[in-house]
Amino acid sequence: MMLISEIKNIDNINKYNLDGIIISYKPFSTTADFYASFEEIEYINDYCHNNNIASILKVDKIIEQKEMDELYEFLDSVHPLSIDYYIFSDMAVLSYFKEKNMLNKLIYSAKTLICSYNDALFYSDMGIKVIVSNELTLESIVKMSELDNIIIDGYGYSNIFYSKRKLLSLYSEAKNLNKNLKNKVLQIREETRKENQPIIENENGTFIYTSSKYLFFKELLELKNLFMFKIEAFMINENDLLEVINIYKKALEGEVTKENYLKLINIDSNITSSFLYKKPMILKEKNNE
Amino acid sequence: MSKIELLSPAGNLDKLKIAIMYGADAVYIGGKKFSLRARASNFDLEDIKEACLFAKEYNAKVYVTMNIIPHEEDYEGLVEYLTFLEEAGVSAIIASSMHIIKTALKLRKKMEVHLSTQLSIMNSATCNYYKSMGVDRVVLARELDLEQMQNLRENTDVEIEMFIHGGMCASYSGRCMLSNHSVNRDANRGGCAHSCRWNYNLIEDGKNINDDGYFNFGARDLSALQAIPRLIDMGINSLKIEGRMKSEYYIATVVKTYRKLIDQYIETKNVDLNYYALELKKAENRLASTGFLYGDVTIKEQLYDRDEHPTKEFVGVVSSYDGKVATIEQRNFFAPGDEIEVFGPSIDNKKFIVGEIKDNEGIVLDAARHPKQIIKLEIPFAVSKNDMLRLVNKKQF
Repeated sequence: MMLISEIKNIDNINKYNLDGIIISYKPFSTTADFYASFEEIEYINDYCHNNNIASILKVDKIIEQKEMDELYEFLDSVHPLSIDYYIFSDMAVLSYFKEKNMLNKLIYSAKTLICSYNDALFYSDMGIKVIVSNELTLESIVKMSELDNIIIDGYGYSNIFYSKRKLLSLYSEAKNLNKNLKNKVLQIREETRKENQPIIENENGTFIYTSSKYLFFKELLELKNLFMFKIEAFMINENDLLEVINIYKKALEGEVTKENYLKLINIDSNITSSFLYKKPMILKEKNNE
Repeated sequence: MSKIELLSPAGNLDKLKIAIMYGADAVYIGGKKFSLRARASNFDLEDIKEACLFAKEYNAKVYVTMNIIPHEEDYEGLVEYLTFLEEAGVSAIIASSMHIIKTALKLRKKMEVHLSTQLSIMNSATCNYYKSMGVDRVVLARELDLEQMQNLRENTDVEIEMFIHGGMCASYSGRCMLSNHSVNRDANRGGCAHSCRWNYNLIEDGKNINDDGYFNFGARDLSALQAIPRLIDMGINSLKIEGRMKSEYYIATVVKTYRKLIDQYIETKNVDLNYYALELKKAENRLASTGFLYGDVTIKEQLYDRDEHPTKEFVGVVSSYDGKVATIEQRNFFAPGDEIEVFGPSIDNKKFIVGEIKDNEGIVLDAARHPKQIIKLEIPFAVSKNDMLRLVNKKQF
């Protein structure tokens, strides 16, 4: 089982005790604290290969028709690097790798769309790994872990809203705020609630995250298989991230202990089990069929 | 190239019949299983059979939405349901789940498989990939502009369906979990609470950015009226109206308007878009915009200042006409002296002034006050069952 995450600072790359390093690249990665240049992709990829670490390129944007040529030129340009995996959410990426007969390099990450064993199986049959939704019950995840292609995004803020609209800039303009609200993490708080949800607008649109960090830890003991465990590094400071990585590294080697759990809580107690132990409601009429 | 399709929503059998009678080539409905819009009056199995029989009489098609993102427990009865739909005469399912799609493709004899807008399809490579799986049609994401749509159309031969009218998500469809996390309702299984339309404080470094008002990020509805000629010319296969929750009156008005526009454009290549815009405004007064059709959205496409209230223009439906007196089922208040416009599948906006109104017992009323009340009034021209009455001008005192 591989532990994967992004790095915050290329100069500290050797401090990251990871089995796989996720690399973000503008404009095809949705959000990140650190976007690599092409030269930095080459550097990180070399570092990974020299240290028996998997390199993982995040190309998870929804791709528009006008971006197709640029996307394929980019994929052509990184192809000689033999990057190990690509995180994607658009079938334009899948089509590229299908043509090259390299679907086994792919990790599907339209997380809100992967909510069941059967949908994960569809990708498993093609050799594609999937990052599963963070809105699932533990029971569902355990069932899905019977497959060989499952990745859990098990620590960090969960993305819960992806829009093409530049919602913060538009709001600033509409209300004459005269403020540049792009590329900085702000918070939104619904008028009757207490929780703040991070929101960020960048070139790819607007993204909203959960108010608490998802924590999947002791549940690791329940799983049958897990291909990768991902830590969502976005909005976590580097020191905390390095500590969290070290704790999960031990956990994945068998130390799923109360002591390690408490260490995680000590780093940040603002955590949530999301839907692991509750089911979302479905507003269905009574079914009389 | 086949004629472009006008595709209407239908929340129940009555709405389905109205949509088809008013000119829809096809309707999409939700069954009790596997469908979003859980609060729409979804169709049970007998309703689906009846819907298909009714549609067949008019040479129209019925599509069934199976567009939830299923969890483990949601798959129960999938094969039986798909088999039933095929046998009932359903022309296509609209789905998002790869397992549902794959199962449908394996089982189907004639029934088509359409991909829901939940998959946010924005490029021709994705269209071609799904076509290679056997999918017959894709519903494009609402975030694509006309230029890109044209280019996409030129690079794929899968059937393309696109939304032209109705509600818009603030996010990419299928990529919003706000309802899940704010009110524990699963947006991708029909529980969307429209959290994007709530009021939020926007905070930077612990301080409200705007003390004078809330941060809103809901989107205005879509109205692609002015783009219809171009969409027809570029070879889009189906133009879809959103709104399985909408009223019969809304369905009738919107379907009839787009039906006339499409037919007139195909016949004459010359249409007065202002006329059709005014017709659409009679349906309801939610704020509309052109969405992403002409490029990135601006503040005009966002819903910052809501001034929406239910329209009361719809005042009745014709039940019968004896050559002089019409029997009407009342829907909103009207009174003698009011000017009423009648429209229907075979009548175009004919007006009259309301005279004497009687109830079913022949008692003269001072006004039609009660929803669903059966009333009688003289109409000076022929009307037919299912024609609708809208209030144009209140009597001036």
